[in-house]
Amino acid sequence: MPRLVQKTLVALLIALVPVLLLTACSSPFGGNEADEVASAGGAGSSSEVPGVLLEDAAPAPQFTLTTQDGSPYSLSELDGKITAIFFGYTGCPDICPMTLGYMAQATEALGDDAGQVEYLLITVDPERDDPERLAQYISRVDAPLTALTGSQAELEPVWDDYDIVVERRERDGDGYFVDHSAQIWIIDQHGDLVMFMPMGADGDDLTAALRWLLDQEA
Amino acid sequence: MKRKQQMFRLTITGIFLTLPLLGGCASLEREAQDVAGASERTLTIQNVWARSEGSGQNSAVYLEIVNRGEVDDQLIAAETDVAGATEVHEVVSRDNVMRMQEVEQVEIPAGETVNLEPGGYHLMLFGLVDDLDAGDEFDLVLTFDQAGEITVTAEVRHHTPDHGYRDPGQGGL
Repeated sequence: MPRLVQKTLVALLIALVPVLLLTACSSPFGGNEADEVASAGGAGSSSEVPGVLLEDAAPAPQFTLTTQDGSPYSLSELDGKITAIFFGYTGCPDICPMTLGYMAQATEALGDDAGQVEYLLITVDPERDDPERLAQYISRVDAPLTALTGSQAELEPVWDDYDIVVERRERDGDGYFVDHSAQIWIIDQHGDLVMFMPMGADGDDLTAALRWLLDQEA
Repeated sequence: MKRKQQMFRLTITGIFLTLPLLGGCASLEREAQDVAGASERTLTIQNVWARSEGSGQNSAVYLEIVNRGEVDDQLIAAETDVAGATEVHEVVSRDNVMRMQEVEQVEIPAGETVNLEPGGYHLMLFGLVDDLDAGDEFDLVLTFDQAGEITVTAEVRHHTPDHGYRDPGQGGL
């Protein structure tokens, strides 16, 4: 085989890898449901797929952390509500409030059904995000949102369980940034981790995904 | 033989890589000639707003820059009294991890409108001196490579359902 052809084939295969991976992610339900979610995003949204269904929906990894009020919170206390979880930190002025804004947007858009969904912000910056600071941060978000913190040792397994990469990066001068994964995880009414909103999904996509999940139960 | 083929391919690649660079050089020269005509008037800054945050926290400023001139410009710095430090930032995603980073400049091409908006570019305010509450206003000095310093007023907005960007003219969202 000529070398150039060989190289082209290899390049093509490499280019196909992400496509294959994406297909693997969204096909476990035979395609129908995944397609339905995909089409629920509505026109003009920044992403074609509002939610990515997990291949193996399973009980969401458990954790007990501390709320912005200083009280303990266990995921196992879910009371038949859908729960959307985002990982972020109060020092993050762009992506994090933007995502929390999506939660507020979904809350408004879901209308009478808004009470069936609750939202969690779990910090990736336990050093700075004490309950008081978290309380101040989320007081500006119009959503049924609980903010959670804990010690580094308490939080690390939670980040791992939810596939959240957390990378501290020093800032020139003083302070630091915390680079982090930004997907929104969604736990269904039965406590199963069923889907996530990929980065790039917006408030319309989140609303569509939540609406879809609510309709599954109806 | 193989080696010859490889050389040929490298040469072709080299030519394609170089072409845009050559184009870039030509336009740089052209711009340099036009610089004398650049003035503050050609830039319009609009819809300037900042996220409401508490004292000591960080915030972000968003805005639109319209360049009606014929010369490209660059936003290179921003400064305000309401924060300990102000930097021009962008949010980038690398291996599915979001990171904010400082940028040297934001390109404002001639004849175009550039939006600093959530999820893209923003002016990062480090360490707010006081609470920024919805409805508050504060001044901000933007520095452009060509147009120099331009002072604008930012309006503070609450975190809103649709992040208050689409309709910045309306208060009390």
